[in-house]
Amino acid sequence: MKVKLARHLILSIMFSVAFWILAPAAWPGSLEEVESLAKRPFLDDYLSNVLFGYRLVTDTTKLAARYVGNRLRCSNCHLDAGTRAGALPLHVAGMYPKWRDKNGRSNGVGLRIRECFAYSMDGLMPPENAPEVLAISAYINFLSKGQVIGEAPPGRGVPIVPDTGFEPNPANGGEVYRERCSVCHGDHGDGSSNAPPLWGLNSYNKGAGMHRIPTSAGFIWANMPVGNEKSLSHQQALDVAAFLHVQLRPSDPRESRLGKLFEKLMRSFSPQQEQIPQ
Amino acid sequence: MTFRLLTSVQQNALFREACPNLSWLRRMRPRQEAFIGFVGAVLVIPQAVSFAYLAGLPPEYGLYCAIYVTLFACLFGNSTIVGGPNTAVAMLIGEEVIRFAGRGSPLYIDGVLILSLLVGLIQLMIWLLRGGRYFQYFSPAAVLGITTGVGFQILFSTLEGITGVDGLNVPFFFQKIAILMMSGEDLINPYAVTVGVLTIVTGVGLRRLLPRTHILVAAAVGILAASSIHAFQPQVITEMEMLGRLPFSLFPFSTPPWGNDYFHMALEMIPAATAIAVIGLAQTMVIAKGINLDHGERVNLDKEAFAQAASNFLAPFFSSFAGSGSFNRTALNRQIGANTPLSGIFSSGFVLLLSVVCGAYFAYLPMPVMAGMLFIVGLATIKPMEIRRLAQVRQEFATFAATFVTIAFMGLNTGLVVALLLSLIPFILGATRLECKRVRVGPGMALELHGNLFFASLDQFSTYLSQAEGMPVIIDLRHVAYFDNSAAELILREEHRRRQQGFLLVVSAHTSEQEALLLSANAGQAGDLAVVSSLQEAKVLLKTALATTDPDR
Ligand code: HEC
Ligand code: HEC
Repeated sequence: MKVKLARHLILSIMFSVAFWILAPAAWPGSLEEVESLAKRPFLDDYLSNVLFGYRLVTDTTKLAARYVGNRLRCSNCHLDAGTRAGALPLHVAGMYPKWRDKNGRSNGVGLRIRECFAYSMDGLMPPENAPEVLAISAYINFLSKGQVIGEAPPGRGVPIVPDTGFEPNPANGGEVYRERCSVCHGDHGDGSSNAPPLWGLNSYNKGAGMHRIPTSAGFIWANMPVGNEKSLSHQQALDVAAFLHVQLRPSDPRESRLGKLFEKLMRSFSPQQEQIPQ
Repeated sequence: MTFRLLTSVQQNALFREACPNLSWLRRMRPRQEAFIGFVGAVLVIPQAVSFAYLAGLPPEYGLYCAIYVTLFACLFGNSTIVGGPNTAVAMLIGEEVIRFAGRGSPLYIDGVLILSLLVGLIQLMIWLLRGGRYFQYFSPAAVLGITTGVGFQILFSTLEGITGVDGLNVPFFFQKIAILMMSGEDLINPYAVTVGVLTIVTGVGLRRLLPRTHILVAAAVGILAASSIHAFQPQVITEMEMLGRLPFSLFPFSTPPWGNDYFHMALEMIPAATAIAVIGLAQTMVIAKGINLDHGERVNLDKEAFAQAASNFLAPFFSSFAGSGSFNRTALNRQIGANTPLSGIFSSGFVLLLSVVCGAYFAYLPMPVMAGMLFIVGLATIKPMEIRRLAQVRQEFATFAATFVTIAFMGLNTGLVVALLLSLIPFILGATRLECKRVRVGPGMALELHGNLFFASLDQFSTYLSQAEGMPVIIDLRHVAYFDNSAAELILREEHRRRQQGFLLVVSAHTSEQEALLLSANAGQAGDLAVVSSLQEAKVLLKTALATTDPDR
């Protein structure tokens, strides 16, 4: 028992140290570069797509309305428009295309983008050559400048929260949520004027990566609460992730068919809420 | 002499054409026109969305076009012609702008706005030059060739939506077939094909039975099929493309981009913009001509040309692409009893209303259904009956076939040029025809010319002259409509030659213009050609000349 605890302790310290060292070094500051594109008088096809991709990521509900079902935007999870380490950064073009035996095809970053539309945004799966998908791919390419092909870029995904030896506990998570999160995300998880919804019909669905406890715990531990990041213990992060996991949210489109239709009808009848400001 | 570009009468006419003419307010029957507008709106929405798809734009642009371009065309026009999104125009826009950027990307949309602005400007220019009436020169055979070619192109353009295969937006049908044959097998989406084919079969099957509504029934069947498929297989698995929720806004103001590089882009677009301007106006004019042949309404061609030009010029400021008069919507509009532009105005209002109210439900329209509807529209523009009728006249059928084949193998742009040239051939042949009636006048001869006497008919003219060799002649220009400088010079040279042989040549000019041309040519060559202004005088001149010449020469 003691040995196990010590191992966890050492592992978590190692992870944290590695993270702290890597995080600031990771960024070549390309976000400014993207924003400076907007000031140029003319952009060629590629650069105009890069800029459009950036705008899509930061204003998804408005600009990609065709395929979005909920009230999130890509940058709610891919923080700083996909440029923050440990917050699902998007400079990952070098990791694609990758071979997937699931469908026997080589899958480009486009498929990942389309999946985030279908699950994280609880919308429709856009076609491969939808302008939105192509523009976001261009943006991802632009961010990935200088990364090594085939090698995971630093800070990819979310940090892995080490196994604490305790099961994630939704009840404890509820406590944490009320204390630490509800100020911004609302008592009912439906978001507020300064934070996106965490559950309910306006949040991601059960097929989303954020619905997986390890992923959301890593994300929450590293990035939440905003302004006081990494103040939760690993256990607290896991608990609150489990709490989010058991809340009501749109179903996985792969599992529920008619249910999905029902949800969409419900949503189209419910009054549209205000967009949260950026 | 002072030159004025336009007389004040012409200025007044231009001004009248450019101002909305609301005289129809007195004739309108609002209740009836509102109903007609509603039917028109229901009909145009699926067309608008699929034409936006043809033009490579997000669907909402088609709706904006069906609202604003239609509205402006009705406000500026004064007829029952319904303008708005149009197949040929949309297809040409797509063919052109794809050279500059990927479909639907921001630069692409900028390109479409610039192109539409250019089209509007060129059409305004055509209107100012009173060019509207020249579109009557498109021969019916060429028009049929164009519409058939467009229909054929539409059929193939739907393949992408129906099979779900990306990368089929290559311009020519044989390329599409090649791609499908080579890589289709594992790319074709079986769900999409099922839904698309079902839609088409229903539509074509019901065409006779439900001439007005078969497209809508077909769409309903397609949507039902797609929904049942999705009840078993979720969309993330079928990957069937859906229309998606439209980010619709009531006043989608936009401005065509400005700057050096965009200017260069615009310059490169001028040839295509000209072609689009011409085909757009041609359709409106052909429709207007059709209405004028019908009884009841009289359409002022120039006013409609202005309405079309102005609405296309304004389109890019309302997130719309260029359009033109629509054959099928105008026909329906008139069939069910419209008689003022009010029905078109109502139609654009209803499109707006329906988009706002039902916009959320458009999201579940599957693309294969949209493609299937487009296929039915494309099939309907191919009219085998009319083609068969044409086939009886060899020359007309040749015009038709050449136009069609060029469009299929070389694109719509080239096809249009071919159509125009082929339409002009009969005119050119007609214009250069010069006939001559010979009348004896004493020992001489009067050549009474019929037709146009200009550079292209001079050859014929020389032949007639040579047939009156060795005698005095009168050239009678009473029946010559067009007379140019080169003809005057030829006459002068001939007069010189004949004078040397001792024979007189007198010209009886009919108009002061002819006389002026002849006299100035005369002065230029220091000749002394006798130009008189009536045949009578010419005869007198001939006789007195004969009398004074030495009889035994
Ligand atoms: C609810 C949060 C959320 C939202 C909103 C979201 N994503 Fe994601 N995204 C994730 C998660 C979690 C992952 C990691 C998934 C995994 O590992 O399975 C991910 C992964 C990705 C990846 C792959 C990253 C990698 O490291 O390979 C891309 C690309 C991506 N998302 C694009 C988008 C785009 C584009 C949008 C907006 C349309 C979007 N995402 C919206 C949560 C989100
Ligand atoms: C200070 C306000 C604030 C607090 C407190 C806060 N968040 Fe957030 N949270 C945000 C904002 C803002 C975003 C969106 C980030 C962005 O768009 O840049 C966000 C995003 C998220 C997301 C991803 C987006 C989504 O909707 O799924 C999760 C998950 C999340 N927060 C969980 C939590 C949890 C769990 C807590 C409590 C531990 C918490 N947050 C506390 C402001 C806050």
